[in-house]
Order: sequence, then structure tokens, then C-alpha cells
Amino acid sequence: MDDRRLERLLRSLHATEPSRRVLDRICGACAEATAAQGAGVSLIVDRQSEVLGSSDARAARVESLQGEFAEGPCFDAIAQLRPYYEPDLTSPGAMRRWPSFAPAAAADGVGAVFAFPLVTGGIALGALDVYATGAGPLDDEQVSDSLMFADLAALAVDNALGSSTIDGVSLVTEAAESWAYSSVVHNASGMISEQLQIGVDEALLRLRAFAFVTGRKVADLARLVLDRAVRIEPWTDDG
Amino acid sequence: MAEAARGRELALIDALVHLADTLVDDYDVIEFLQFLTERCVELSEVDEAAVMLTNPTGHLQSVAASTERTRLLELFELQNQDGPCLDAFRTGEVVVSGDLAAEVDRWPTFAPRAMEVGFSAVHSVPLRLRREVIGALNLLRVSTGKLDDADARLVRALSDIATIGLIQERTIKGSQSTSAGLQNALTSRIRIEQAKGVLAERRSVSTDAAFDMLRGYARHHRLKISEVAADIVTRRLDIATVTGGGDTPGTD
Repeated sequence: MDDRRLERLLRSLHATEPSRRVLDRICGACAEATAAQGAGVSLIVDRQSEVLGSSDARAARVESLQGEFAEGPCFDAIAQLRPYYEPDLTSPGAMRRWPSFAPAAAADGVGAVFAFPLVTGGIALGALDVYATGAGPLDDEQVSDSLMFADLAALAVDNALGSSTIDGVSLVTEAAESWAYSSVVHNASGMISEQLQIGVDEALLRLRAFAFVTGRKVADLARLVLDRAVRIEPWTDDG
Repeated sequence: MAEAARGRELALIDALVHLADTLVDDYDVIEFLQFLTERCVELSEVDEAAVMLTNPTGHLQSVAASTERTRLLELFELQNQDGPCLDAFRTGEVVVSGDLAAEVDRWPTFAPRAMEVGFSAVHSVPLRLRREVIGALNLLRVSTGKLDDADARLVRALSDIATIGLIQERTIKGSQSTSAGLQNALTSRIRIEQAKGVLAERRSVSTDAAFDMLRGYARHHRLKISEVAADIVTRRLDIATVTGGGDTPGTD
């Protein structure tokens, strides 16, 4: 990445309204930099999602549509751990792939969606979605810009999971370090690690993120996992 | 009475000799503390005992208990909100209550929950490392009433031994940092809790049963429970071979 582009991206971030939440600002700057019509960020675990930021009202609406129907490019991006592009949301392929989301988003004026996974520690916690009103692909520069904003958003989300606020907006979250947790949380991490065949640290991260999107305390969720009342599912790649 | 007192003294000496032996050997701090909590229950008029240590975030974490049961561990950990252990840790003084029913105002979270699971009295002794308090030995009684003087002295002696064990851990591991022994005990404990979860899932059993498997395997193969736990968590050990009490031939 050349320095000028970084400078331009930081400037566009700086130019956003300072009183807005940091993820809203990232989305706003992303839409601005890529000349798209909107962008949104969602935290997604186990097909449950929480909209954490958006550039504008329509982006927020379309973002929650993906969560509501539990379908859309962001789910594909997360399952595959790589960007997922739909340059024409009204195409028969898109309508087949997302039978609920695609028509609803198209009805709200969205023509194309480009989803970028928010990757932290090798796993996807959510996605940044870039929305365009017209159909057509992003060019290379728009893709690299979006990837950078996705990295920024991943940092902000990861940070938010470990603190109680995003820019002063209170969220149901607890500390990030494993020290802060009680024995049931460690039991549950071990259990999830065996269920999903992932490391215990990643399992703890998944548990925290799931607690976050479902508005539960980590220890309460851990108890449900131990009682086998809740199961955190692996990402699947079948759409 | 003199016979009983003498019997207890002999048992205490036995326990001390065993503890001293464990300390000179290549030893496992978790097992050492577990042995110590079991001796508390055996030698004094208490029904459950746990060693709680402060961790890097300032939380009290239970690292060893006389009975390894999740519900009991949760009760001990509940004291991060209020309870005798937290008070002993904060004040550096022994904290006693002979009747939890009278302590609901003092410990609004802990007292009702402890009574709910069947305990009536508590005794907490701070663990001191030089001038610093690093945790507390927490003792629970099913019946009301305080420990008598002899028992109170005995558990104080055992709490000193717990601290020595933690210092020894640091010396053995050759670390320069005062808190390294403590940190190692805490980390080992987290590994054990994670390993219980892995085993519970693989075997479709409770975490309590998983702990029995873990301990049974470690004993049968003469391994440290902390090491077995770490190997389970990192999948260096084939979990399929870990069963309770050595009832299947191992691979040793």
C-alpha cells in the first residue's frame, strides 16, 4: 500500500463526524473512500448477528436484513474466511442463493454487495459490507481500500469485546483476558474446543463473541454450554 | 480425648512429612495444594476446603479444593463479589463466621448461596507471601459453630504450608519473579478446567466425572495432573486413552 493512499484513507476517517461511534465512522469513511453508497459492520456468531456500525440509515437497514434472515454475502464471507462479492443482487443466482435477503435488499435500492470478513486471531468475528446502488464489480483499488477498513473494523470489534463500550456506547461485554473468567468459562472453552476442533483460545473468543451478540454474560452462557442447553455451531460453507 | 488429640497429631505429622516429600520431589503445585485441602478436611472439623489465589486481574481464583465439584468451585469463586475469602484477602486477617444465617447483610451474595448448598459456617485464613497477601485458604462447615482453638491453629499451619509450596514452586522452576509460582499454579488450574471441558464433551459426561478421569489417568500413569491436562488441551495426548481410574490398559 502506498503512503498516499493510507493518508487519504486516514483523512477520510478523520473527516467523519467525531461524535459518531467509531464503527459508524469507519463505515462512513469506507463508503466515502470506495465511492459506494453505504457500508455496514456486523458481529456474527453462530448465525446470530448484531449490527455494530453503519454509514447511514439504509446501510443499517440492509445490514440488519442479513442478520434477520441469517443469509447474505456477509455469512458467505465469514464461512469462507475471504471476501464474497455479489456485483448484481438482482441476478437469478443471487436470488437463488439468498431467497429472502436478495429481494428485500434490492427493494431497498441495493444493486451490489461486497462482504469482507473481520478477521482477528485467524477467525472471523463479523463482516464489513460495502453496498452499491448500481450493479457492477469493485475495482482493485476499491477492494484494497475496503480490506483496510475491514482490518480497522476488526480491531475496533475485537477491542469492543474486551471493554464495556465502543466510544462510550455501553455493551454487555467482559474482560478479554482468560484470567478474568471463572472455572465454568474454562470448562466451556474446553468443551467448545472439542466440539469445533479448534484451540481453546479460539474457543474462548467464540464464546465471548457469542455472549456479546446474544446479550448474555460470558459466565451465564458458559453454564448453558456446560448444561448442553446451547451449542455453538461451526461455520459452514454451504451458504 | 487425649487419645483423639494424639491421633490427630500423628496424622498431622504424617501429612507434614508427605508434604515435605512432595516439595523436594519434582512436584505439581496443584496436586500439592489439593492434598493440603484434603488434609484440612481430614484433620479439622471442616467439611470442605479450597485454596484461592489472586490472579493478574486481581480476581480470586480457586486453584485446589478438597472436593472437585463444579458447583462447589462456583461457590468459592462467587466470593469475588463478597464473602469471607475476599475479606481475608483484603484485610490480611482471619475471617470467621459460626453462623452464616446471621451474615446475609455482611455477605449478601455468598451467605445465601452457601446456605442453599448446605453450609452453615466459614473460616478463611489469608495466605501471605512476605508482606503481600496472595490469596486465602477457605474452609466450610455444614454445621454451625466456629473452629476450636486447636483446629484454628492447625488450619493456620496448613495455610503457611500452602504458601511455602507456592514459594517452592518458584524456586524449583528457577524463576526470578516472586509471582511466578503463583502464576504457574493459576495457569495450571485454567488448563485443568479446559481439559475437563474437552473430556466432558468427548465422553459425554459431566465436568465432575471428567475430572475423575483426568486424575485417574494421571495417577495410573504416574504423571502430573497439570501436565496431563495441558496435553489434553493441546491434543498431544490421545483423549481416547483417558478413562477413569485406570480401568483400561494404558499405553505406558
